[in-house]
Amino acid sequence: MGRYRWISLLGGAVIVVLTYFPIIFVVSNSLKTGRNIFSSGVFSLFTQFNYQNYSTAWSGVSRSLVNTVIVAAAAIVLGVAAAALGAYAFSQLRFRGKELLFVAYLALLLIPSTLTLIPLFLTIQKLGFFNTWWALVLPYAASAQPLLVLIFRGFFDQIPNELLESARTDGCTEAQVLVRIVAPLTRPVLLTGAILVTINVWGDYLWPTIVIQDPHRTTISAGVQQFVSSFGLNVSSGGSVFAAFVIATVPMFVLVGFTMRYFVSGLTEGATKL
Amino acid sequence: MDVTFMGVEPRVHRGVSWWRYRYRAVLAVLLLPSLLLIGVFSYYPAVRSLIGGFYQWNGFSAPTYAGISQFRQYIQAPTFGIEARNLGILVGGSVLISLVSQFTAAEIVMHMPRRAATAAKYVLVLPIVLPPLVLIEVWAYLLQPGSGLIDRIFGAVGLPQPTWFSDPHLALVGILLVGFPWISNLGFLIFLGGLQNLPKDVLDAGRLDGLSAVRRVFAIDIPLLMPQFRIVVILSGIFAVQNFIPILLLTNGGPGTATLVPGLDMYQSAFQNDQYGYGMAIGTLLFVAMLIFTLIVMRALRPRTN
Repeated sequence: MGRYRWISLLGGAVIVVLTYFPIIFVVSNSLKTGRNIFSSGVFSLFTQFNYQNYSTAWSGVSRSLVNTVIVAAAAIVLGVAAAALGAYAFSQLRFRGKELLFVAYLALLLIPSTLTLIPLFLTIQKLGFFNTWWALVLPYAASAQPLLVLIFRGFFDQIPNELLESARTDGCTEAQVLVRIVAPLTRPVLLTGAILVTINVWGDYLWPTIVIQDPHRTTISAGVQQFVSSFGLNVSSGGSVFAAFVIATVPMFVLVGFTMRYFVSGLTEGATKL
Repeated sequence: MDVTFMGVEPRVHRGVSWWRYRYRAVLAVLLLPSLLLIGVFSYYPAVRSLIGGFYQWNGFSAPTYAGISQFRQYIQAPTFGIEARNLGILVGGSVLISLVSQFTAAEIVMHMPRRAATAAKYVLVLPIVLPPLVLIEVWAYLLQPGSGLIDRIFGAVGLPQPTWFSDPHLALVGILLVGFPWISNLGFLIFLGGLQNLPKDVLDAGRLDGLSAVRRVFAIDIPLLMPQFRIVVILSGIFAVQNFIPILLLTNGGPGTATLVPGLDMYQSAFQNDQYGYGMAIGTLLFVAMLIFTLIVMRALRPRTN
């Protein structure tokens, strides 16, 4: 037994190093001047500390960073609220065709984004949302529905029915049951939903490049790509490109680092119920 | 039936209908926002895509009915064989590397002492949130011909230094290398969850039989984790079918057509050549291919019931 323990610790160290070496390179390069990124050897880590790169990168991507926060917040409010209400109906109310409708949600998980990409763009155009944040917020809120309804319903199903019934017989209206009893219990799972939506908005590159024309209105992934193509890696300010990578990544690492439990439970619950 | 619902005492003369009316109103308020969202932004586009493939449309003039001619045009195009082959290599390759790397990582973490295992799990999961764009651009840097880290390492140990994305034979390999070692993924969590929940009596029986750790992997872990393997194959396969973004950013299908895939072809047809109908036809074929892939995997990796 002891032997395996040491082998596993060694193996664990190896896979952690392999996973993190690109990240280490990004951080190290973000502090180098452009020429040194290649010429002083890729193996020399943390030999220069040029903080100027960060102010260059910040002026390039800060706008899209703020946009991302706004779009993510709107998509969370809309997407998480809609999914929570819907899941509550699926869990607590009885109506005809309920399970069939639920399957219609699950089926969406099998519809690839490549199938809907073009018509979704045409729909956005027709609704007059092209080049506005609605073009991002509404599809993000919609694409979160199947997974969030699945996770939320699983959670609501676990709330003991006696608790809700006793509140109802004590004279609570259904709205009061929802606000006073269900909502406080639900906070952790709503947080999970909010994190999943944020990661999606943050990481999506393709959609904003299709529906947002104005470079000042785009979100972080597309904003960073604009910054990369305006500088390139080889020019003297190449280090600031890596600084932009760090700026685009750190908020996600901090957010998910502090809420890891909710993040992991959200990911695995969705997958195991499929 | 309850006498009260939502604090409302049903009036005797119109009790039932009043009760039903309230119930339906609440139901509508709860369900409608979500239904509207998926209806307008998921189901409507999906249906429209399935129909749109049968119409030729440039986005400006009125669409004209084209029957199956656009589907035929795509399949008979000289690039179709190349795209199908590239997609096959990418899907097969990424499913294989996902399974091997994520299962191996889960086995390693599972054998660790408990606190180290928890820490390692979190540390390995965190990079999932790395924006894909950043990951792709970083690998573009690491795979720079000659001066990139990978070629420097190859040079240091005496291997040839490939030009990766500009070499038609290696460009696909370069695309697959993006994200190495591919551990930070949902599949790792699925495998780890499966391994940590293996039935204890089976493990004890294996231990009594004196199974080595390596034998245990093949005799117990892999057979019992078939459901997990199935879901990881499906998830990574579906993802690989759709994910043309690394190709869009790194090679744009080139050199020549060496990395062209159906998703990219669809994207270029619609958003660069204004062939919206043709793009939707490709999207439909891709959807059908994905459904077939999912069904085959579901059947082939069916858990055996004893």
